[in-house]
Amino acid sequence: MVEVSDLVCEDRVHRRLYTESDIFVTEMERIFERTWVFIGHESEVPEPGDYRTTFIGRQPVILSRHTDGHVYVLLNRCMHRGALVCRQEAGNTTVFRCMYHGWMYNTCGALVAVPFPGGYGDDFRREDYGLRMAPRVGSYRGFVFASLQPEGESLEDHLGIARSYMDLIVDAAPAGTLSVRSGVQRYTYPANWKLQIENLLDGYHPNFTHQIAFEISERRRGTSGRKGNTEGSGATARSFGRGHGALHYSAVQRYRWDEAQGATAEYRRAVEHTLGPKRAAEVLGADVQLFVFPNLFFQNARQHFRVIRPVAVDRTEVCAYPYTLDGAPEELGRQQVKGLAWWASAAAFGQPDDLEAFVRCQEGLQVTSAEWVLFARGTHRERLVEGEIIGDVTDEVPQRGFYREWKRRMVDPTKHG
Amino acid sequence: MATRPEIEDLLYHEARLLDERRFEEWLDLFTQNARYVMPSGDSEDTGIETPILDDDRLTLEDRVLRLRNPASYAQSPPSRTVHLVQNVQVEPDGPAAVNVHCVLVVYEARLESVRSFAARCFYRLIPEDGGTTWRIAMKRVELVNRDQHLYNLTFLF
Repeated sequence: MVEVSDLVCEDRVHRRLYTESDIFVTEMERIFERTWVFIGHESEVPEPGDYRTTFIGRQPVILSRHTDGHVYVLLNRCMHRGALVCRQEAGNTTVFRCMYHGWMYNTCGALVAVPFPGGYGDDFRREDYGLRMAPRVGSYRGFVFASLQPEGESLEDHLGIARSYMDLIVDAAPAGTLSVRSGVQRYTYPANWKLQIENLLDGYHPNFTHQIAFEISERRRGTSGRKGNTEGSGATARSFGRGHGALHYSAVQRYRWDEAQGATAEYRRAVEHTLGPKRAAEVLGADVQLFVFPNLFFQNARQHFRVIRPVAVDRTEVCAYPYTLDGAPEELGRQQVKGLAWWASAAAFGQPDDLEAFVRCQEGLQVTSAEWVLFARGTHRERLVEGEIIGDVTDEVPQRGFYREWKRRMVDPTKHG
Repeated sequence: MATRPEIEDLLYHEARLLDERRFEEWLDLFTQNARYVMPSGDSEDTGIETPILDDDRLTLEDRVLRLRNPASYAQSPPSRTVHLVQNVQVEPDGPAAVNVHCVLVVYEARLESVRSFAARCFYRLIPEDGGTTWRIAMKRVELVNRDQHLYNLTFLF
């Protein structure tokens, strides 16, 4: 394999990052199976015995709420012969019983029963065969992360400035917490996972890729994201270390609150009551898209987050979860849950055009005589402000930040937790 | 009183309009207050479980405008489809409404792929134009794979 360090420069990355299977395998080992990865939200497993299954990179895991009240991230693999111990997407149980030979584990992974134990010698110790678990699990504002590496940077340090953005998003809930129980938009596309991440933090493409969505939105609602994604709009693209980044549209307010709705006024009062007028104005005026390296993305204007799952070098699955704001009028949440389909479903007016772009990139990147993918936009005008690199919304600041972290982890993974 | 052959004719006509890309005529099959829903799971309530789509009449018109627009990149080139309607059952609901259940199989070709989709469909039809025409007041398409990871459903079911 070519040296990974030669494939990423400050303002460009090599096409092989999108096309080579061996690079994909290394990404799973050195990024997803080492760093903090988003697993799920605490509101998905509120009660003891609640669980839901997901993945860390390629590896199946169970997010489980044990009777001690804590959440555990268990590797979904029977310690006997390797079968998944849980096939359900979500549910409530006291034990995970392997269907193959009946080995039973409790909700923190301890092996509690082995059928016909006489077949094992006296030296067989059940405690040696508990489910493997993620050695580090952490939670911030209800968002649960895990790392498969026993030691390393704390979750708080990993999140860094991303925490203040998560605060901005979660503080919009008058009760201070979000709930994730409104279904999911699941989509897949035949192209590399990094294309989705580059796109979520790309304020340059919307005027072109989403021309139709903007036209329709303007005709129906009198507003769209078009102006916010124009050079010089006042919106900004940002990078703040560890690969995290954001698009910050608060200065341009792409989406207006529907003030005619009684529920909107009621909601505003509730937020002001909780946060006081100054912070409430900041939170209610916030229009941000946040990416938390390596697999979590928020868009607060459309009240959802997405989880990106790389499946193969040219196959990616994404789940977009609408969330509701605890303490806000129910009607506001219902509109958002229903409305997410307009932009982000497989039949939507927005997202399918992005996926078409990814597929065209995946095909175009087969050209070998042009080796580099350019992320040079705005290099000459970015500035550092209080730990954030900030550029025009159309600049490729977040992409450069993402690939700096990608390179750091891919080149020498032993140094980073 | 609607007969099954009469309703089947309507459904076959709808399928043909879609396959012949006569989308404006297809819109005329719907009432002005029509609702068109594709759920993503098993809930009836799209405010509790986010749907694949939940369109009112205006949004349906937007879909047709999109299909006619060359900047609709997810439909450039456009999908070619065949809609097969089967297992039609008709349940009159009073004198002024009919509930219909049928199954739908759609073959869709675009670029180098041919994909097949199966769905159960539920319609509510009401008579308009002085009782001479049945129009679609509600159409609900339940894909068998609606809870799986989906890709590019920007053509019409």
